[in-house]
Amino acid sequence: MKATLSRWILRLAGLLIVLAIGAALLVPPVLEKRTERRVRTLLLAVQEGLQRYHVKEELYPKRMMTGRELIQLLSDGEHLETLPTNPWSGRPYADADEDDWLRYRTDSLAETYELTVLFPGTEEVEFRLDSTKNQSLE
Amino acid sequence: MIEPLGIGGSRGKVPPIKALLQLYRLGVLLAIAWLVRAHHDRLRVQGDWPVTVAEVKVFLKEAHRLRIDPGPRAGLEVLDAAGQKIGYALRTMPESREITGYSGPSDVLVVFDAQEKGVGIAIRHSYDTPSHVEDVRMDFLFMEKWNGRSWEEIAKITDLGDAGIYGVSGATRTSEAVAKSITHRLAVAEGRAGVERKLTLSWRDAALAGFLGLGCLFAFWKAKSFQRWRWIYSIATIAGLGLWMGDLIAQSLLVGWTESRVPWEATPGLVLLVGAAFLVPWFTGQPVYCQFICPHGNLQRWTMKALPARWKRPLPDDGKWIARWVPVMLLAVVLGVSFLQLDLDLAGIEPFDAYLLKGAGLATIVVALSGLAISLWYPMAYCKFGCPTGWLLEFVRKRIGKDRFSERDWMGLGLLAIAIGCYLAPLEWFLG
Repeated sequence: MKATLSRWILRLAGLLIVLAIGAALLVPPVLEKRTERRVRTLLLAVQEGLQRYHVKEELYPKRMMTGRELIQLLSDGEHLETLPTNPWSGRPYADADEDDWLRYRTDSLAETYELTVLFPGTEEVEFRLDSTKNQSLE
Repeated sequence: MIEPLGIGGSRGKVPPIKALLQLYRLGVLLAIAWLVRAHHDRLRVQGDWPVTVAEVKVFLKEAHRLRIDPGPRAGLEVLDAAGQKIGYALRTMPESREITGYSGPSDVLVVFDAQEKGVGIAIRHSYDTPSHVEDVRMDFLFMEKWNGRSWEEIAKITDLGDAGIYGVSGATRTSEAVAKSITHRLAVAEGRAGVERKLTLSWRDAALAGFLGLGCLFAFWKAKSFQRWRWIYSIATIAGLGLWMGDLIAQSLLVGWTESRVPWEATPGLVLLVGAAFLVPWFTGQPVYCQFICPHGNLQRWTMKALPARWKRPLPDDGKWIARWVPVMLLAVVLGVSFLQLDLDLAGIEPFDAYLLKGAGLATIVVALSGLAISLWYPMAYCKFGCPTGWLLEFVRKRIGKDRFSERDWMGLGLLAIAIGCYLAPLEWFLG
């Protein structure tokens, strides 16, 4: 009886290890995909906000900005319907200490814009959107 | 001794039970494949912003349910409460993503009635200037210009002016982009419907058919005079089918085909090989692919001869019980990757891509080499306890002699449950 119980415990421990390997394979890409979906939602909201800004000011914002600065600007001008969620933290885009890999820049006349999202911790571009060629991630 | 899982009264004494088990096993695989396919059809048609019944109800009051149309039109059949088709709906994105107005494309919903006459359009979301989009939305003359026109009529429009469709004043480019995205989307669907698929045969198909034919001969013709050549065939599969052609049956291949379609016209030889790998063992009980054709299986057979028999270690029962879960876990991972469209290269969980040498990733090479190393001490360990593709082929294999609902059948049922769960649960549950 005791021997059978110990064998089952051994088997269940082994099964847990197998499941843990499966989780180790699945969890990182799931988290990556979750962030990617949030980034897409954020980019659509920011694009809409930039278009509203452009209608009002007849130009896009003139200087390079981080995502936080851009969202603050659009939010202050009431160009955003709601304050978007920071895709990397899952919380509203407000806290200065949180990760922010969204970058905004414009041309010298502020007639076009480019939004880039960097892979966290790098300068490598994950998504690039602009007002001329790449306007949608769909 | 651990009792195997089983259903008390289902021991295979009665032949119909055996036949039912065979049908059950094939049915489980087909059901999983159907769920994967239906899910991907849904993703392909609905994209990032799925059309809802509420959106369609604006134009078709009786709309109750939307059914994915996986055909060339790639839209949604609109059904009423009785299940009768009362119309058809589609969105213009992503096919019309290149058609932009002032500052971006728009996703437009187009709804037809049962006679395929337009009943309305709606701008769902837009990357264009919001004020212009609003101008177009509010211009009922423009928005209703599509009503009463047939699918073919709209698809044929090349000049909007000739068709009596004029831009909205103050939002000309946005409205023209909306109009063009509709005509383009419908024309693309019409074009797809006209595409013919022609069977093309190449030397690769002949070579694959040759490997398959010889594999079947070695599996079924047991004459010693013929079997003595099997070692040559074994080396030929490793060198030819594996290293030269790289045509091994793998999860990445099976999932790709299941998600999109089986490319019977482009690679008929490979389709024949995959079909035979499942159906020959299902009909005859002979695991022809795993035992005779698979280059990695054959390479393991050579590898295990490298060490003397006394160095071999039998795997303890508990180890076997645990190891039997490995391919099932990998298949669950495969389902997760497919349903959630995760960025995980399935080639990396199996050793088969390592045979491509130049294009092989590190993960697949590690799996291949470690599988071969383990097989030095535990013969055919990867085939028995690591291979998810082999598990599927063994799952459907007809059992010789008595048959019963075994542990493996429960595992198959578990995989089907995972597939059903992934199909029914909204993506937001997993991906936020």
